[in-house]
Amino acid sequence: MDVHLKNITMSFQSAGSNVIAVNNFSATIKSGEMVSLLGPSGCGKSTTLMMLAGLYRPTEGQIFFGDTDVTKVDAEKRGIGMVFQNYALYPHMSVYKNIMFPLKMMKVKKPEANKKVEEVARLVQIEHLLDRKPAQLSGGQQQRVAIARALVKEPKLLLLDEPLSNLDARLRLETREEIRRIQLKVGITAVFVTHDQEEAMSISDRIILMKDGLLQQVSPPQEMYRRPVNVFAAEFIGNPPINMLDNLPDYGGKLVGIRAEHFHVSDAGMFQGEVTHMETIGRDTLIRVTGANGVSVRTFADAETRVRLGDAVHLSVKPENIHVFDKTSGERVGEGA
Amino acid sequence: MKTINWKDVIKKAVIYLIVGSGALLMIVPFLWMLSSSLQTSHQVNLRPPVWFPNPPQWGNYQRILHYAPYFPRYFLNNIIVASVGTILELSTSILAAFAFSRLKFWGRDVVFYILLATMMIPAEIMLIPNFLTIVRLGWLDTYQALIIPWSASILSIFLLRQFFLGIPDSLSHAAKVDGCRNFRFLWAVMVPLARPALVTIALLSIISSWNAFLWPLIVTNSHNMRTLPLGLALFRGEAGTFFELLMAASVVVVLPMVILFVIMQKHIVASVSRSGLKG
Repeated sequence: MDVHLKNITMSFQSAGSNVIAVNNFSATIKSGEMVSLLGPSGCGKSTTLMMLAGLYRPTEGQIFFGDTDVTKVDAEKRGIGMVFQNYALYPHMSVYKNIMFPLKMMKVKKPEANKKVEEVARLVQIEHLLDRKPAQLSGGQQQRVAIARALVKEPKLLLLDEPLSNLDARLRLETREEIRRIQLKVGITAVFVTHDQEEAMSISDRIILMKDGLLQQVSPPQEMYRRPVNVFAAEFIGNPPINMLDNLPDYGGKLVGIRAEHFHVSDAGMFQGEVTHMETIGRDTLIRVTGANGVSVRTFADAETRVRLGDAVHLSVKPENIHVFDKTSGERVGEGA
Repeated sequence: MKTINWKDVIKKAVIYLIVGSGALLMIVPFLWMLSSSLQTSHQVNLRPPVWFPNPPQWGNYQRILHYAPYFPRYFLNNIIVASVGTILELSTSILAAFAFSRLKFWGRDVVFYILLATMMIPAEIMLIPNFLTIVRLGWLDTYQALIIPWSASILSIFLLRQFFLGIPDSLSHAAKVDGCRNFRFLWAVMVPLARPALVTIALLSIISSWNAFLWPLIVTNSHNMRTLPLGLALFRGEAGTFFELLMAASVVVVLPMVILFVIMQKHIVASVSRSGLKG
């Protein structure tokens, strides 16, 4: 089922003033794909999800599930599954009853419901926990239960609201892979809200990048990384953050973005300076090179080159890896030459 | 060798002394009531008092019925008024608290604060207007008169509303997405979660209804409608008070509350500490 958002605007009355959370937002989520809504906090991504769920009603615009206009349909009637950041399991019910709850609301017959609960429990690998109460589970297990509850009624659309934010780093990685595995296996259309670019990059087919309620860029993760459409997209995606340089000799009046891994330490190059900081994390050595005018960039040092702190180095970069942006609008204007 | 920490011992001794004397202060009148209920009418008036009547006059309990033949009826009335009243109060509190905490409607908080403000009006001021209302409704000397005016309590609504507000929004969002409408969500999720608060409310309601004196006194006339606290007054006649019978009857009146307390003790402690209400 394709999902279309058409010119969605959502404004809240807050302390007497009108706050626009989502501004004239349009996007299409194709059937069976996993799309991330990515952006810093307050960018409107969660609000957009709430509108998809039917928990908020947009001030303007329309939402379509397939060909059906669901803009005015209540959450209870939309037939979606949703996973929350704090899991939102019913604390007084066992895991089994939690997963059973949506089926009970749909008045599914007992034997059939039992079968469905067991199936979905097997899918998310929590068969052995069905008798426990949510409080007796770890965060990762609770999130699995929440996913099972969201999937048990076989919804057409799965919404995930920062489902990994409350988990510790290792579990986050594991659960992330797990969510992707389940989504691909079930083949469900899914929308995943996150503020973590790495999460969005790793899990989704496409990323919808938002800022201040406005859509910035919609593209597959790698394309967003390789061809950011504006300064915000370039800076938000990637770790370490992209190097933004101003007033380079050949690029007067433009901003130039170069990712750390695209600089190479060499004998001659467009940037020269002194190595002022080094840190080795696992296989990578990240260095900071500070130029004569005080501008510094981050890059990786090859194992062979053996740079040391205080060395004077040249950094070269291939022209196709230089992103050029207009200084005032922030829009991409092209690559380096 | 284990050394004795005298500072700790003294500290403990002082604490036990204070707590112990407090407990003694609470239990002595109770024991006196129990002891007096088993004495003869002569022993009751002796100075110094008799603590252990020998033989105990168990017959006093039978004689209650002789002097107050309607006593069982009062007991029944008390049970009806306390249980129906409590069920009604729980229902109104749950619905009102849900509306004031979860539903969005115009003027919601203003209405709530106005209701809250009525808690500052002393109950005595409401006595006459309430009585007149009951008279106009033609409810004098009926169960409605005993129950309906106490079937909603602002304090209970307030307690429950605060509890409901503490239940995260995401839970109601999850329920909505799961296909659950407001009313169902209230019964299937909110009410079970609010059990500690509901136990507090139920107990407060039962106790105040069980012990109510003034209101039943003014709205009931017949023996059929009177309640236990009024019944106790029967043992004070013009010719004097039958203290041993009054005490025996008092034991009968207090006993259900004591049993209730023993059964619910764990819940009471849990709910009082959870709701932050001082009992």
